[in-house]
Amino acid sequence: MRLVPIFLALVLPALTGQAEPQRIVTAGAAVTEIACALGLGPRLVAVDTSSRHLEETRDKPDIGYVRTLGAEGILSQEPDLILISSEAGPPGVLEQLARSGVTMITVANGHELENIDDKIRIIAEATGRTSEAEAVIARVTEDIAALRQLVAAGDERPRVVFLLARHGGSLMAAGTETAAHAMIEAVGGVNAAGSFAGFRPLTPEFFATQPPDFVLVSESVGENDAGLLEGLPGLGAGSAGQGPQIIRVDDAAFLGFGPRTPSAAAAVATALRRP
Amino acid sequence: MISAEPRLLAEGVTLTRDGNRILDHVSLAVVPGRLTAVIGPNGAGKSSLLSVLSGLWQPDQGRVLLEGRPVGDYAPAARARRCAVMRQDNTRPAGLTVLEAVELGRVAHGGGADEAQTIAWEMLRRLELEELAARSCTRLSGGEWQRTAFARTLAQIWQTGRTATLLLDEPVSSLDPAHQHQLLAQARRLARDGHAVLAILHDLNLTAHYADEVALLKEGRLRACGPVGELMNPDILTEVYGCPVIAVQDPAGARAFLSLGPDEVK
Amino acid sequence: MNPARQEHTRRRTRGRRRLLALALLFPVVLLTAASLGAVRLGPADLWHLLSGGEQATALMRAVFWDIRLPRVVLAALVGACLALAGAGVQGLFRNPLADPALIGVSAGAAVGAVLCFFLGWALLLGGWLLPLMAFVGGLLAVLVLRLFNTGFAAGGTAKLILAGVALNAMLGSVLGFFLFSASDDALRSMTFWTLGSCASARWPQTVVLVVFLAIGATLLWRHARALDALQLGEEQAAHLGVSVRRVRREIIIGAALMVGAATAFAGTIGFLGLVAPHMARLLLGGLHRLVLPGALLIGAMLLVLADLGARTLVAPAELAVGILTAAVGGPFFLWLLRRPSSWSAS
Repeated sequence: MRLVPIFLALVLPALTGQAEPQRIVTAGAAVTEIACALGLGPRLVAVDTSSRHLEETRDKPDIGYVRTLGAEGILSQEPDLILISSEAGPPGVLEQLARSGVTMITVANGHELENIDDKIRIIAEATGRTSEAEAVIARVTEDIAALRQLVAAGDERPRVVFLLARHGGSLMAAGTETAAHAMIEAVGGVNAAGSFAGFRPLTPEFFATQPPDFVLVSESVGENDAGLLEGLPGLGAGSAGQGPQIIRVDDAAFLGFGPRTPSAAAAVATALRRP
Repeated sequence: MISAEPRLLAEGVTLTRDGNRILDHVSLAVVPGRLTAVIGPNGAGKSSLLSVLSGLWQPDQGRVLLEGRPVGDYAPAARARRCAVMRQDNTRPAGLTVLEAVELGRVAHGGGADEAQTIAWEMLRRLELEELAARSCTRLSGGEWQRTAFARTLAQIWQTGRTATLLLDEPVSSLDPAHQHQLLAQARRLARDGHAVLAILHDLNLTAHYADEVALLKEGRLRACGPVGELMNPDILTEVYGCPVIAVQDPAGARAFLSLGPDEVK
Repeated sequence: MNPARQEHTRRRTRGRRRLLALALLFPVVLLTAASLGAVRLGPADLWHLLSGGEQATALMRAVFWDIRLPRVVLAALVGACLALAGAGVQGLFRNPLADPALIGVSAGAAVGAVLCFFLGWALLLGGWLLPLMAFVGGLLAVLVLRLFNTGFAAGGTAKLILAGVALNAMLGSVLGFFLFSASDDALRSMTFWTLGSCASARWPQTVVLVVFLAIGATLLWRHARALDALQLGEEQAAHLGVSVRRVRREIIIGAALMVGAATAFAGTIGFLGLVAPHMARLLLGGLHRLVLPGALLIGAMLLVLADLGARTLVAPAELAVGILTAAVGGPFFLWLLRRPSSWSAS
């Protein structure tokens, strides 16, 4: 009885006139997560470094950092489809890949929760998984709705700052035009560091004069860096409700704008409303 | 004595640096066929005079004519073919052999690598430096390097059918007596061959022995200039150098000059 | 022939023979690098590709002709430019530790490129704006150096070096400011650009680079003898008939053009401009008519090999080639230094 699906798998592509890609290379955490959510995990032959945090992709060959890819390296995996996020680079390499004749789809990486649907649809079409996509989109839409409800229910908007660690052990705060900023707004907070764009190092005065209510800490700030947090005036260990509350987030889920983002956001939104 | 047109003529050269007058209205003629020695105490301006004569520095007043034309009018290569200068301390080129250093004298000439090499070998032969030809310049003694520099200077003016000007700044300061005589004898022979030679010297005996003309420089001014016989005079020398200079004569008639320390004067 | 002549002839022929050996080694290294890569191409495949046979698949053709070969050629040209400029600068400054970066062109190019990333213009003009801004940045830096020095003549070489150091410090702080104020996206692009890479090679780039290499090489080759004479010091070189001002100006311009163009297309790649000329001198002696071509060949081969490592060692990922130039060049250089040789600068 297994012959029927096999027969269909062999014949259908010929019938529909389009073969489903069997060897897929992805670059960009959100793209990879969507591909896995669509059940394409086994067909991924190589992924970029930022995509290897998932169970399914942990042991896949690594094509390197999403912004410094190598054309030959990707082509050596003999892909029949390349899915890349819009931040992939360098541009010269993307050009080389485009000229190689292998189908390459670029998925725009916006900072809007609503765009996650579009990303899923683009990938689903390119890989022939449109039916599976509906289920995933439905889940994502549900999660977004739940998040919106949570946020609408709250009356005041807490002051939040997002911190990550940069090389050299300094802590950077996320200003506007960052994914973190978009997410802070999405979970119903106000970015306490919203006076500048991009990432800036913290100054002690910042916390002394206008301490935030919550500090979201990227997982890049490791155990050793916890000392950095404590060292800042205005930031305590949060004992007895004194000082801002520290919440750790999973970057890939919270900032990736992939299928897991709405639920990760809802979790943070809940934490923000806990007294 | 044939009085020839001066190859190099300085007229009223004055040079001031940082408010100090280094040369004060110096006029000097370097004539072919004769070896002119420039002597004088330290700081008299001898090396500076050489820099001006060679065209390296422009005087504030006065001018220098090389073969009748202002020295600054010549393109560097054209000037180098007419006038070779040997300065006192040169950086030793790393990675070059003695032969290659001598070949550098031919940089201003069109000749080509083979001609440069032939001439360089000839110069090394004349200065008895052939054995050192393949040695790296950085491995020479001070004296060997000075003789190499002289060989290079010779190579620079080596051309058939033409004589040139040679300016030497203390060319024997690192040499032992035998080599001092060898080099200055070469210099005098060049003068006899028709070149115009000027040498800054510190040794009074060598000056007396090899120079035809002597120019005495003190505090930037030309104190005296004339044939060697007239100027190599204990009184003049004592005055110029500011320390007692006496002449001694050995039984055979050779004359030597001795400078004495202040406590040696009777 | 007396023994001294024999010895000298032997040494001279040895230098020439070694240069010839380098020249013969060069195509071998190029071909070897072109035949290796993440995509396996066997000898048969290479034969099909080079002879234009139909057995070569479209993918193989794309990989070899569009991706790998332009990259190998670019690496060779960039290495040649950096090394030749280094040889010129070392000869001019009479300092074997001199690096083309001393004249500020690398830092200027970096500022130009980083500014381009900062403004988000990296993709404009079909991707040509980035190398253009880098190149202009490099040349502007050299012009500023000239202004500092009121025309390169005044003050001599020592002053020029100090002015270069000051310029590099200033440009470094400008660079730091951009890095500090950049968005995260731009910052990552900037950082990786400054580490150097030949990955985005395209054939038009190699054509442009050949032109600049030719111009720079011509300028430097004309002064090979003058560079020799300069080793005696600038004063003595002037007495030997060298137009020191003109030579200094043209060598700096030649070096700036070559380093500017190379950096524009491959980012800042260090170490080559310092080490390749030194290796050439150790192997070939001090005469620039050997050192200049020698440095060119050695620089080209070193970068081709380093780039080979960059694209194969962690395949399918890429390493920054700047890390490898030091890794490949360093130990080889040390080995050369240990050889007993009277050609060495001691």
